Amino acid sequence: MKDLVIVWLAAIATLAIYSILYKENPIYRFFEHVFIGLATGYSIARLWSDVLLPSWWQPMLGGQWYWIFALVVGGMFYTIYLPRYAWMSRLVMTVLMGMAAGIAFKGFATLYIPQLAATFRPIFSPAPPYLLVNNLLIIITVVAVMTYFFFSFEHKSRAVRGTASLGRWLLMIAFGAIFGSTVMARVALLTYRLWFLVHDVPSRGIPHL
Amino acid sequence: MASVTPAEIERQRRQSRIIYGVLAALMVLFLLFEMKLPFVVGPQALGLYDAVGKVRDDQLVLLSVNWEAGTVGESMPQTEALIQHLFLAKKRFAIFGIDPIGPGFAQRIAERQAERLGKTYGVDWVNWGYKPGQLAMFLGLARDIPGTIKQDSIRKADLTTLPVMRGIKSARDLGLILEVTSTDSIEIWIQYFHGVYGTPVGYAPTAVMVPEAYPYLNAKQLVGMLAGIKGAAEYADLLERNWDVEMTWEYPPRRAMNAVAIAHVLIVLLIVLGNYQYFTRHRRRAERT
Amino acid sequence: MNLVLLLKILSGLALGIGGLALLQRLRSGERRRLMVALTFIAGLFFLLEFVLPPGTTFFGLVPPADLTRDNFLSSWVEVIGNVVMVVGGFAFGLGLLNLATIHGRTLFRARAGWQNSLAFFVAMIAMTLAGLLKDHRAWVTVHDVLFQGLYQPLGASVFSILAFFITTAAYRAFRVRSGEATLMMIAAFIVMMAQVPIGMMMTNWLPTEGWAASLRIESISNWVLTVLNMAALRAVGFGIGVGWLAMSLRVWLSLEKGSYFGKEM
Repeated sequence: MKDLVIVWLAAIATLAIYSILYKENPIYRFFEHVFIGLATGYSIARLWSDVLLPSWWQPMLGGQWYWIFALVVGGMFYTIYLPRYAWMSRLVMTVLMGMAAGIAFKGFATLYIPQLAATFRPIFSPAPPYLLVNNLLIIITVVAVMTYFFFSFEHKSRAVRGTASLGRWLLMIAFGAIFGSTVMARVALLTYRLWFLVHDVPSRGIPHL
Repeated sequence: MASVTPAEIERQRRQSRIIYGVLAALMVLFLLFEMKLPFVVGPQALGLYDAVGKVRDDQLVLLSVNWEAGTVGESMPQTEALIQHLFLAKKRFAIFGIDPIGPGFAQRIAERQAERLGKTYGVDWVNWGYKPGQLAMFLGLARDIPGTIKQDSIRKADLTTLPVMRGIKSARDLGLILEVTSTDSIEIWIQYFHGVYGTPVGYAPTAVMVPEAYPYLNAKQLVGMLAGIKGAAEYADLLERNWDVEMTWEYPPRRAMNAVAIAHVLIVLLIVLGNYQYFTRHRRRAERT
Repeated sequence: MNLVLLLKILSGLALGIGGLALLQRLRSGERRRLMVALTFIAGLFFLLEFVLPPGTTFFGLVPPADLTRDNFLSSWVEVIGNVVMVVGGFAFGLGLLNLATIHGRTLFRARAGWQNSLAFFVAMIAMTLAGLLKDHRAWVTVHDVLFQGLYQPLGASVFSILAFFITTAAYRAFRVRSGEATLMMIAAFIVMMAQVPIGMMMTNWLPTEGWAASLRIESISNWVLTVLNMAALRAVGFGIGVGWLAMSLRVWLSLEKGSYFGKEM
C-alpha cells in the first residue's frame, strides 16, 4: 500500500512539474515550494541528528559543559540582524575565513605541484612517438592558454598575440567538450524521469492481482 | 533589430512544444525496447574498477556521497554500481557526505543491495552521516576518524564499537576514497587526503563536471572516474562481465544509454537544421537587397 | 542530567554572553584590530602546522602524539575541526531564518501566492519531524512517502526540464558563424557521439587493436578530452589557483576590502 501511494504521488509530482513545459501555471509553483520545504526540513533533521546531537549536545550533557561556548560563538552569526552588534557576525566569519586561508597554502601545494610536474613531461625520450607528440601538445596548450589569460600586460608583440590567439582556439575545444558533456548530463536526468513514468509506474503502480 | 511580435512568440511556443514532444517520444521508444547496441568501456572506468579491487582487507573504503534529488538520474546508478561492486568484492565501506541529503540516498541503495547480497549493517558497511564541509573538519577527520564522526548515523552507536570500524583510525587506514558528487567537492580529497596521506581517490561526477577532471586524472591525482550516466553504464558492463551474480538497478544505466543516444542524435540534427535554415534565410535576404 | 552540570552549563552561557557584552564595549579601532589579530592567528595556526617539521616542540608545550609525523600543533587540529564543525552547524539557521522570513511575510500578510508559502512551511515541518522521529513506525511511513513520493521526484523532474530547453536551444541558438564556433561544435560533436552507442556504431567497423583503432570515435574523443581539453583546463586551473592563493593571502592579512572587511566596525 505504501509503495502504491509513493508511486502515484511521485507520478503526480512529476507531471505537475512538467506542466511548466506547456505554460506557466500555479500547480507548478505550488509543487516547487513543497520541494524547497521538504529539502529544508530534511537538512534540518540531518543537521541535528548527525552533527549537533553527537558532536555538541551529547558531549555537553555528558559532562563537557564548556561546549556551551560553541552556542555563544555560533550565536554571533545572528547578530547580523542587529545593526549595533552586526560587527560580531563579521568577526566569526573573518576568523573562519582566516582559517580557510591558512589551510589553503597546504591545499595549493598538494593540488598544483603534481600538476605542474605532469605538464612538463619529456619530449625527447625512447617512449613511443605518439606519447612524445602528446607531451609536446600539452606543453604548448598550457602555455598558449595561460598567455591568453595574461591581462597584466598589453599583448603588443606578434609572438605574444599569436600565442594568445592559439590559446583562444584551444580553449574553444575545451568549451566544446564541456558543452557536449552538459548535453549528456541534462539528457540523462530526463531519461531517469521518463524511465520512472514508462517503467516504474506500470510495474509498481498497478497492484498485481 | 525588429521587435518580436506576439504572433512570433506564439509560433515559437508551438514549435517548442513540438520539439519537446518529439524528444520525449523518441526517448520513450528507445527506453521501452531493449536493443543491443555496441558499447565500449573507457580507461577511466577501468581504472576505478581496478582500484576497488586493490583495497586491502585491513582498509576501509570511504564512499562520499554529495548529490541530491536533482541529479538522481546520473548519481544514483553511479552509487548503485559502486555499492554493488564493494559488496561483491567484500570491501568494507563507510557512507559519508558533506551534503545533508546524499548519505540518505546511498543508505537506501545499500540497504536494498545488502538484503539481496546478504550483507550486515555495522559489519560490512556503516553510515557516518552528514557533516558540514568546513576545511578544518576535513583536517580533523584525516587525523582522527572516530573522534570527528563519533557515532554512526543509523543506530547512533559509538563508532569504535562497530565491527566494520576495527583498526580504522585515520586517513592512513583508508584504502580508497570514492566521491560521487554533483558539486565541486573533489579537490578537498585530493588536497588534504591524497596529497598528504597518498590515499587513492576515485571520482564519479555528473557529466557536466567531467572535462574539468582530466587535469587531475592526468597528474594521477585520481585513480579513475565514472563520467556521468555513461560511466555508470561502463561500470555495469564491467560488473556483469566479471561477476557471476545478476546485478539489479533501480534505474538501469545500460538501458538508459540507448535513450541518451537518440537524444544526442536529435540534438545534433536540430543544430544542423537550425544552421541550415539560418544560412539559407540569410542568403535569400542578401540576394533580395 | 545532574544539577551541578546544569549549573555549570548555565554559568558558562552567562559567562559567554558577558564576554560578548564586554566585546561590545570595544571602540571601533579596537574591534578592527581584534578582528585582524584573530584572523591572522587562525590562519597562522594552520600554516605553521603545515610547514613546521615533524617532531617540533615548543618549550615542551603539548607534546606531539607521534614525533615522526606531528609537530606540537598537530594534536589541536582535530579539536579545532570539531569546534568549527559545530559552530558551522549553527550557521545553518541563517539560511533557514531567511527563507522563513520571506515566506512568513507572504503568509501573514496574505499576499499573492500565500498558499505556496503555507505549503513550504507544512512541507518543511512535516519533513523535519519525519526525519527526527525515524525510530517510530508511523513516522517512518511518513518519511518514506514524503522523501520517495515527493522530494525525490520533484527534484529530479525540476532539473530534468533543462533537457527540453537545451534541445530547443540547439535548434534556435547555436549558430556556427565563426572559425572558433566551428571548432567548438566539432569538439562537442565528437564528445557527444563518442559517449553513446549510436555514435560508437559509426566507427564500429574499425578494428579495436592496432593503429587503426585510434581512428574510432571513442579514441578520438578520449584524445580530445585527455590531451587538448585537459591541457586547456589545466591552464585555466593554474590561473584560478594563483588567484585563490592571492585571495587567501589578502584575507589572512586582512588586506581584503568588501562586505566583511572594509566596513566601519
